[in-house]
Amino acid sequence: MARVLLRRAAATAHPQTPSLHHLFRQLSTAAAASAAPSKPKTFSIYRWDPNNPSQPTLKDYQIDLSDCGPMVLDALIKIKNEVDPTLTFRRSCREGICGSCAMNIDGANGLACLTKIQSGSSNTTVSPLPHMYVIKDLVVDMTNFYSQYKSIEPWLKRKSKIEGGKEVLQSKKDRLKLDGMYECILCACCSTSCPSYWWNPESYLGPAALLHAHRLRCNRGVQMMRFSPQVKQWIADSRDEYTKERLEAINDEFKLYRCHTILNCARACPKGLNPGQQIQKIKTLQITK
Amino acid sequence: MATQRLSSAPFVSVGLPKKGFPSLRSSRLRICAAKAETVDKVCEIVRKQLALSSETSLTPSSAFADLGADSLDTVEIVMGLEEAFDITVEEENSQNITTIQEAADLIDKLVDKKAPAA
Amino acid sequence: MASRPKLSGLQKQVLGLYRGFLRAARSKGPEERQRIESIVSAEFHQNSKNIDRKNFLQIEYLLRRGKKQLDQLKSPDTVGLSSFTFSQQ
Repeated sequence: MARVLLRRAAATAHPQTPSLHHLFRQLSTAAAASAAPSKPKTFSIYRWDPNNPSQPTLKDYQIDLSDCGPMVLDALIKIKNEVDPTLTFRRSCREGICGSCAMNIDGANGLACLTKIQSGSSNTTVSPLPHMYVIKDLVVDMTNFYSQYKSIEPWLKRKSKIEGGKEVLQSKKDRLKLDGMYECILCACCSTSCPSYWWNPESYLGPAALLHAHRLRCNRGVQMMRFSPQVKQWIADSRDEYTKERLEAINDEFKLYRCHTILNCARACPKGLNPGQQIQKIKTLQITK
Repeated sequence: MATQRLSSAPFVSVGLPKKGFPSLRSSRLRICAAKAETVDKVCEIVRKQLALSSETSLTPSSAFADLGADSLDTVEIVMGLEEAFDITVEEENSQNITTIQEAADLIDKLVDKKAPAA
Repeated sequence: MASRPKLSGLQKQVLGLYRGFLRAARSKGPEERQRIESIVSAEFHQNSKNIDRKNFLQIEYLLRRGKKQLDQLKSPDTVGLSSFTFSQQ
């Protein structure tokens, strides 16, 4: 920025005047020294265009890190803005809450907006989530992932009517049981890092969907507080019945038991959750129910 | 099956329910299994689907491919036949239809199958 | 026409998809049906000419896209289909 301003100043001045010209030279060298030195970094990015019959390729893009945000998503946006507008990727919140920018960065699944650019001189490789069908460049087809999530019926199911017809209240203690599960943003980093999911993507539900299945069990199993005008009392919620049905629904050699506790999911999760542990809890429940 | 077929298709006199399809390539030499009107109707539909001129002669042995139809056109023809005869052709069967004769035979079979149920 | 060429699995899937589209079109209004049929037919015929039969990657991609579109078309809430062309450049 400083440089640009200086150039403008020089242009308005008389370039013929030797003293000014000399001054400009001095100033510009000073400015170059004060501005951050350029830090070139190369990103090798997976490219595939469905409208182009050629095979997918890794394309190299060199950008200057001194003029770029710290995260991989910043670099991708910079490349799209300044180098190649055809580069295609999903992004939205840029702060790790929407889960759109899940991709494979240097071999590890993660959110581009939460992954720091490695400062080393080696190339950073960015590719789509592994073992997913690519729609274009870094955009993958999430249909199967979402339909699996849908299959566990991720909503509260109740048999009894809610008194007052409003919220279903929950105690703080019961709410705490949902920690480690409610944070999931369904970015698919875990499921697509799981070798078991790679081999059986249709039949094995995958860590993300199972984590949510367990969350619902907890939700369903909680004791509910119901208010009546006179007495305030705890009664067991009839949703317990659904817990059983839910456990039954996923008690399947493929849907649940393809988890072999490889725990790539826990390593990949950008939110620091441990889906493998939750799956383990479901398995325990299957035995003790 | 055989009796049903006999009653509704009285033209059929020889080569009745042999196991498997008889060779259709030499249809000149053998008696048609399908009814004449079925064959005519099939010809009409094929002519319309492929937008053939009236000069193009269609015989029962005409193969769709020889009339310039690719596999997509064949799908269209079969779909057109389904509607005209009010039948449903299974996917496996529809891939075996390559000539007018084959189409007519299958249609008669399916129509016969449907008739007793109705 | 000595013997008909055997269809590959991929070809069968494409033809099955085409059949599915034509079936789904039947459930729509007569005017829309004709529009759907002409769009779908044009797309399939165009791709059958333009895409190299060995380019499995692209054919599989188009199959997946087609299946998704067919699922949407099958819904009774979907009444029609439209397409637009754009030139790359």
